[in-house]
Amino acid sequence: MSESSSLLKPAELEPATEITRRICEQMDLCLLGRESLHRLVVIGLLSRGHILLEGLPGLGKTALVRTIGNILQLDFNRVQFTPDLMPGDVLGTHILQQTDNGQREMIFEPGPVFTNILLADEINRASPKTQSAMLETMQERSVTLRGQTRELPDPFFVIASQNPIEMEGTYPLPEAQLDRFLFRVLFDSVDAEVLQRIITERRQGDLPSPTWQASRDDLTFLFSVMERIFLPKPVAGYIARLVSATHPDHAEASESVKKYVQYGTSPRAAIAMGEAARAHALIDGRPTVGFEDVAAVAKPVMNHRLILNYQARFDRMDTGQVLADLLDELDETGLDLPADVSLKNA
Amino acid sequence: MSSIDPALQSFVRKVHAMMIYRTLLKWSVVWLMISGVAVLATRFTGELPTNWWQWMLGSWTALACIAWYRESLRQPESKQLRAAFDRQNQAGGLVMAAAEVDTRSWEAKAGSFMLPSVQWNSGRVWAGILLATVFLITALLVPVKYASLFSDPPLEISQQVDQLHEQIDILESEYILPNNEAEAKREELDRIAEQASGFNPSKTWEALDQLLHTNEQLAQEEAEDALSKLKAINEATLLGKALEMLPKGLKDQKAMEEGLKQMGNLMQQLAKAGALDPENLPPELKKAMAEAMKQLAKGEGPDAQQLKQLLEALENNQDQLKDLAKLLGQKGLIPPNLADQFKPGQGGIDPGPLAELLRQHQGDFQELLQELGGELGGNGGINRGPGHAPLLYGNNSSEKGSEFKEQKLGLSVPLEQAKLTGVTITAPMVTGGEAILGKGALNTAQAGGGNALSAPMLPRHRGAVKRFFLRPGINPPANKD
Repeated sequence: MSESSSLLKPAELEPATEITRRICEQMDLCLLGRESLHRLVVIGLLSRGHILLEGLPGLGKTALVRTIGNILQLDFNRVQFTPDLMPGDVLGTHILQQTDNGQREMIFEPGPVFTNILLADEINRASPKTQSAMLETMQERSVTLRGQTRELPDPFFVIASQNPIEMEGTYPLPEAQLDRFLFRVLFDSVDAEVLQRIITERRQGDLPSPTWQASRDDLTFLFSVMERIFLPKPVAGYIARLVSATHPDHAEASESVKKYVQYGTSPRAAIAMGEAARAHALIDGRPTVGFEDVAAVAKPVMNHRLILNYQARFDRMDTGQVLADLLDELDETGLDLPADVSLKNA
Repeated sequence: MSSIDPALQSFVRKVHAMMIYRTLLKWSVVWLMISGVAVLATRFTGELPTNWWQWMLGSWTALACIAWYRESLRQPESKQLRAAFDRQNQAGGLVMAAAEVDTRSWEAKAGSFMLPSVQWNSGRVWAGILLATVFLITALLVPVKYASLFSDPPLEISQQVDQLHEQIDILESEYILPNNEAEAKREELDRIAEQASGFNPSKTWEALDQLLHTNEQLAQEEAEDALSKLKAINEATLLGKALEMLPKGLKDQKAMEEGLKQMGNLMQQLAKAGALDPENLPPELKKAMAEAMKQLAKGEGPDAQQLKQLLEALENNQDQLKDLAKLLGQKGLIPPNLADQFKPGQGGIDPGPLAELLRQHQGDFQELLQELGGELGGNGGINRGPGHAPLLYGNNSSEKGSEFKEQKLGLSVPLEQAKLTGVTITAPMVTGGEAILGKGALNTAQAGGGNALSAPMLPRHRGAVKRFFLRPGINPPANKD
């Protein structure tokens, strides 16, 4: 049995779990009241996925990205997307410059995308043209200009924030770009108790410096452990059934899917879910992925990939409710026991 | 071998056993209901076999085997059961992974796995079993007499059946109905009695009525035939008695010859019609009748002894026919008025005067028979004789000296004296009191109000008019003041 196909030993997994625990701990220390969100962000990073944060201004989206950059000691750039932002402003541009030998050449000036973590702030305020410029960087992790492809630094993450599309002056992200985000995480307001702590402990909104920082080696080690988290076939089967069941014409589709969903999720969602479930198992200190890992990441993975129909708007249904119904109705094991028979823990 | 496997195998067996148990209990509800219905049906239609419990036990065992086989075919895949075991133990995929990779290094850390319990919400099924069991027990214990009441309420027709049996026996014994047909009728009657049901009594009653009707029809035809024979025998008997009583001196006369000839004809007709049944006669009468028949056929008269025996034989046959009619009448096979026609006539014609008549007519025997006509029957019935009485219109009143009463009519106005008062395209409008209609009875009448029934008021009507207007409550009496 080769090492890649063998299960991680406890001694191999525990250091990785400890690193993730520390990262989460530092994030919880810096940003108050966002524990579950921090875990999702770490899962996204471990899965090498991009994250779309959706919420109103002032909820701490930028602070979150800055904190994760600090903890992981990664380069961090922030781009404020505006309607007049051009693709070259993000990707970089060629500038005519005089060389040392007196000749003039088009020299490439890299844009802010050439970094480890790119915060695309209010991404839905930019025009579709500029939004689409991000497609290659997000999927291929490279930039092609004037026929020349340049690799982006490794690791490369895009953490985008967007305002709810009901707000004025926003352009909804195209489905192709939405599909490239691993998660869409809804940024809710914190409760009054947390707010009180923020007021008392965060004067002027200053973020405390992390007491511990991960090294690049740690990150590389985490990525290598991630590769060896085992995804059992029944769990893979469950992910496949879950993604298939988001299509209204599928046999296992729930009633709400049949009624409200126009287009289901893509195979990219299944891949993303598998990776995210692995990361969740890693954070949880397990070498194998279980059904609970899938359930934990299913909603953020799929909620921006489902396209609902007009009936859903009339009935004020959102993707979260549709997915909740689907997760409730679909049996993870596929055991298909009769409705009056149930399994209980002894 | 992984340490997970024993627990997992126990879990697999547990799920399988539960599925068999569930299916068996569900099927048992249906099985109990069907058994109850079968028991009821068996008890309603016949006897429950003594080894009924063996049948039930055997069928239930077969049911259990089928349930086991069915659930074995439908058993979930092992990977699905493994996944369920993993989920219930919150093993985080370790149990599932154990099927694919070596997980022993983690099994010790994970600890022992609990065997999940398989629960079935069986309340409704148990309620169904309880009800079905009560039904089965009720079906086994319900008294058969009540059961038969439900299944086939009785229809009391024994009296009618006995009566019809009796009628068929009579018809058979009197040779009205052949033996094979009588037997067929008996079988049909028994079948009707067996199938008689209170659920559909009209069917039984219709069948019995039909049988009764055919019996009555046969009996009536036979009675009518017997009646005609009886009449002929009566004629022959009367004639024979008349011949017997003729004065000896007339024996060679023409009337005697004619009488014998007629009697011979009558006897031939009777023999041909089967009215003379020699089978029931005593041998000496039988022999005498045969001799008399031979002599009558030759046109020779029998001697006194032979005539006496012949008459005795005829009377014997008469009695037989009367007895038959009486029997049929008593059993209701023929209507009473028909039975009454067989009764002996009251005040029948005495053959003495008949013989005297015969002697007086001196051979005009045919005329004598026509005159006596139906009275020869002597059965006392009321009839109009062999033919209707002729309609004779005699003694018409004379028109001599009778004439219409003359009446003078009033004179009309001659046309030339008529006066043209005007021409209208429709009927002339008559103004009240001015138009004089004419002379005659309407001479003084005046038209008024278009009433065609207007009549002139005459002085003699005065009292009636006065009384009309003085009716109490209509008009107050005129004030005399």
